[in-house]
Amino acid sequence: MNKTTASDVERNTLTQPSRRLSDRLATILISVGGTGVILVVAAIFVFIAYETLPLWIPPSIEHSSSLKPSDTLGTLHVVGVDEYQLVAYGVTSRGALVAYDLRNSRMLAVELTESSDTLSAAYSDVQEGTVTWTTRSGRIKVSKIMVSRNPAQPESIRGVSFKEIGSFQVPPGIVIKKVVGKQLRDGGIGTAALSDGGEVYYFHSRTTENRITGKTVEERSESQLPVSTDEVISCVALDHVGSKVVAGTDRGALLVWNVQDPDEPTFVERTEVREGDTLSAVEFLLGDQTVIVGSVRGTVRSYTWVADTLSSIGRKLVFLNTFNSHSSRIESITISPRSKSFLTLSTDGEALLHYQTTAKTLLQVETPSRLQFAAFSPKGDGIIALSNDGVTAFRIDNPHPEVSMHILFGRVQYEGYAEPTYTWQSSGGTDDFEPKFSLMPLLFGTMKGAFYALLFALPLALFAAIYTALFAHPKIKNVVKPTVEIMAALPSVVIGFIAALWFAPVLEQSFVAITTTAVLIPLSVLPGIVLWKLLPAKLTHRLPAGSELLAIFPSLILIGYAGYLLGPWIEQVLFDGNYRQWLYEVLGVTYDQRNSIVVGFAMGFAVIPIIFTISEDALSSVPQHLTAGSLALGATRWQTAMRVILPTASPGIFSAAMIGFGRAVGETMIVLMATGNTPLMNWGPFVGMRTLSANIAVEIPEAPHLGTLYRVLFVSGLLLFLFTFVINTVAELIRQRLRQRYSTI
Amino acid sequence: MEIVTELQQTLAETMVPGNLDTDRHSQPKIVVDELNLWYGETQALYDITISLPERRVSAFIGPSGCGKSTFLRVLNRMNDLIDDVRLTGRVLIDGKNIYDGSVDPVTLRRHVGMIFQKSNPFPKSIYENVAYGQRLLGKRKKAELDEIVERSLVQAALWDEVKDRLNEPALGLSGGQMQRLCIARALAVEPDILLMDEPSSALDPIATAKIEELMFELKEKYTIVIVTHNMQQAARVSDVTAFFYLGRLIEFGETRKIFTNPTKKQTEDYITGRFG
Ligand SMILES: Nc1ncnc2c1ncn2[C@@H]1O[C@H](COP(=O)(O)OP(=O)(O)OP(=O)(O)O)[C@@H](O)[C@H]1O
Ligand SMILES: [Mg+2]
Repeated sequence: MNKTTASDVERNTLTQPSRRLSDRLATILISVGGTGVILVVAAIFVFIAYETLPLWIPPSIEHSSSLKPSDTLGTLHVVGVDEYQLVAYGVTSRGALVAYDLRNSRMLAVELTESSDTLSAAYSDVQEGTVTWTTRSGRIKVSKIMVSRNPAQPESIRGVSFKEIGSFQVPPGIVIKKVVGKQLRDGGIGTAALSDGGEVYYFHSRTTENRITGKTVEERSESQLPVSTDEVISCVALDHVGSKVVAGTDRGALLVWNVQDPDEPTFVERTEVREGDTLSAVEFLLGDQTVIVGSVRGTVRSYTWVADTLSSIGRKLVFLNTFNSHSSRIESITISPRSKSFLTLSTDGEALLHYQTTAKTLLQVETPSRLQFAAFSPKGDGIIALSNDGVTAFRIDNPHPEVSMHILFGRVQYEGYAEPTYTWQSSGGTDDFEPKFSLMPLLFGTMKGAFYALLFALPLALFAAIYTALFAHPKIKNVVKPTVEIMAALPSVVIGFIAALWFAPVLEQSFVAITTTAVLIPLSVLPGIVLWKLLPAKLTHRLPAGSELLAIFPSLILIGYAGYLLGPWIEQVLFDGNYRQWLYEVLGVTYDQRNSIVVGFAMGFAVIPIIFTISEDALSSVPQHLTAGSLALGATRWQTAMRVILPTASPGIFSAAMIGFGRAVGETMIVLMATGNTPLMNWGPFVGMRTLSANIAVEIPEAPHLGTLYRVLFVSGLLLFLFTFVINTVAELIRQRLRQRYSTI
Repeated sequence: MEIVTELQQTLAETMVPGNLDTDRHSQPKIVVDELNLWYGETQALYDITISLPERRVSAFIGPSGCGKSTFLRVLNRMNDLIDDVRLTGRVLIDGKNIYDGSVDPVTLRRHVGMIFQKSNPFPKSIYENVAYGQRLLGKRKKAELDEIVERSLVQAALWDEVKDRLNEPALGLSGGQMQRLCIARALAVEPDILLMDEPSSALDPIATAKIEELMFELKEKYTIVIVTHNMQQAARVSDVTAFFYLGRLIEFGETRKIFTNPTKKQTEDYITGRFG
């Protein structure tokens, strides 16, 4: 018998070694390639996620050194530290300025002044390295620590000295219980002092050098701040520019004076911030836009100035945030010279580190014995604390305090803002700028851009696909399909360039004419059809298929041109000759040159090919026998298209739209060039937007490596990645289900 | 020879006595006169002249590629959908030339229903499949549609099997049920003529038997034209038979006569299985 079974055949072919080898090789290559792609995608995902991780690591504090100062000069009252956290300095109860090396507890400098006198209040400002103190005899002194070091080796300290930069005298018989002293931005020295009796004095001195004579002139002024209530003032603060003094009262109000003219301070406003609660500490946050207020009950809150047209001074103080409370009276508040962090210290020695923007309490500073005072290091990366048994220095690792989930995705009330908003503003002109990292305007912009793109692209691509797949003669289809696919090959930077530099200005100039034309063109199809029907049937039957377009084109061109001519007239009649002014005056909207319409057209142009191709394929792959079945029942071609083909292909069309949407979401160059990149949250067609992808391109040059902005950009990249991944996966799944469905038909 | 006797037996069993007499009085429903058809340059049908009786089953037989389906499609102008088809001659249905310029093929197809070899239900529910044709005509009233759907399904002998699952997808039915659904769908638009192109070629004997039974019932009301490769089927269900060969109508006459006593040699060879 010569019969061969199927398995024989199989064995025969497989035993051929060359075939078996190539089969194996192909299998290996394909599996390596496939898993390789999956691995690479996973690796990119992991890398992006990894770069964002430090944003979520909670801040940590670590003890770095401590020292025990000698008691012979009196006990330390306030302390400060230099920027390298090597030199700790402070003022003692007997009015002595001392400086120690934190590494070995060696005393580096000491300056005794009026040794017989005792200290009544002191203040330390690490930013400028100044200590302000006042004695029972009514002297106020402001001294600055001078550390000279080897420039090449900041670690090696050559010498430390104190320089007196300000000296004032309180009227006789008055004892100061609280003092604030600062070296102001203009170089002057400002000091606000609160007496036992509740009066506030403001001292100011400024030394200017006459350029010509070389003589130095010192201007000095001292004044008592006018008070018009019978409240008792319990705490004071002075801003960094010497323009405002703020005092808290026993009835929970903040009083504000303008001290810009130090000779004549004026009372500006009184704001009730805490009814009935005695305020015990107040301090300006970095940037002087916000004050932090602590009460005797241990509560901590922040208040910010916002613009207010109703107020006579044009602004008012509003509540911003509440922070974790202490269980006893707040004694002092010290701010970070670098960020919106601040420390609150209460009577029972509890010290908490807060962050203003996030309203979060980051950590607690703990010392072996009761804490008396704590301040930041000048770079904000350390804390120097004074407790019963000496001075302790801590390093804090808190690189990204300004980010939280709420900051990224929630409404946040920033400094100077009257209400919570979604705002993206990553950097400002100054170092004390409060960064605003809301991703919502960017997500919104991404959605808006994609929405406008699809608004334009979806109907066009879909109708084109329906026409080519179901109605057009195969000859037309063979031309149209590759042409549209070539559109996809156009680099998006070219589209963006044309949109931004040519289309946007043209649209701006003749917006009304273009809109009129766009409205008239679909209408012009109707006369085209009438024209076609008017032609004798014998002629139309003999003409090649698709020549009905020839009838539509003339009316298309004519009516398009009519729209162009009508535009200025319509603008004159409806919009008083200037549609932009009309928009602004009647609808209250401004017209940006690079707006959503421009983006819709440009990005729509970029996504049309993919939507067209996929939906055309979906429509053409609806089995022929369904069409035949419908037509045989007396359906017209249009009915067949709408009732049978379109529903059957709908998952494919849906997936085409999804993939188009995914493209639009990820598109960068076009939106970068044509949107104006304004991070607004406004659906309006005449304003621009900023998308996640364009934002990354815009901000990357501004983002220092490993900085917060850098990592936030990675978060936005991660979002973009997830978004497009999910959309494409869903679209692909739908497409596969569709394929299955066809196989059963 | 064996086959011929077998066929004769089948004919003897199935043919109702007296049928032939009534046949003689039956009016021609479809009259085709000198029909030639070309697909581009190739001619597929040559000089077909035939008249098919009303309320009877006419069977087209012939070897593969001889133009049976093409001719069937001529009868409801489904060929219009194929590019490059050209024809000459006349096709009269109820005395009216359907290729006349004034005839709308869409209306024509409503009167001349078609069942395809491969059942082609739409990916919709059973109900919607049957209601489809009526919906095209703009019928919306639920009660009327319900009535038509039920009547059509009863006519197509499918009602009992699907009455509890009308809203389930039609694609969940068996092959035979799907084909009967397509028949119900065609009946729902109330045509005069039903064209069936090998309606049971993909079905098992039981399903085939059901469809054949159906044809017996349907011919009370409809004129049926069926293309089949199954000689027994042609012999069982049809009243007249046309034999096509290479695009030509070779022989046409009463089924019994064609199967028992064909006048042409080619017909006999084909029926007895000597070729095709
Ligand atoms: N769409 C078409 N375009 C070109 N030629 C066609 C087309 N349809 C059929 N033909 C040709 O016309 C001739 C008749 O085909 P037809 O389908 O009518 O045969 P048939 O008798 O139905 O065959 P079968 O029994 O296999 O179904 C064949 O030669 C076929 O190749
Ligand atoms: Mg056929």
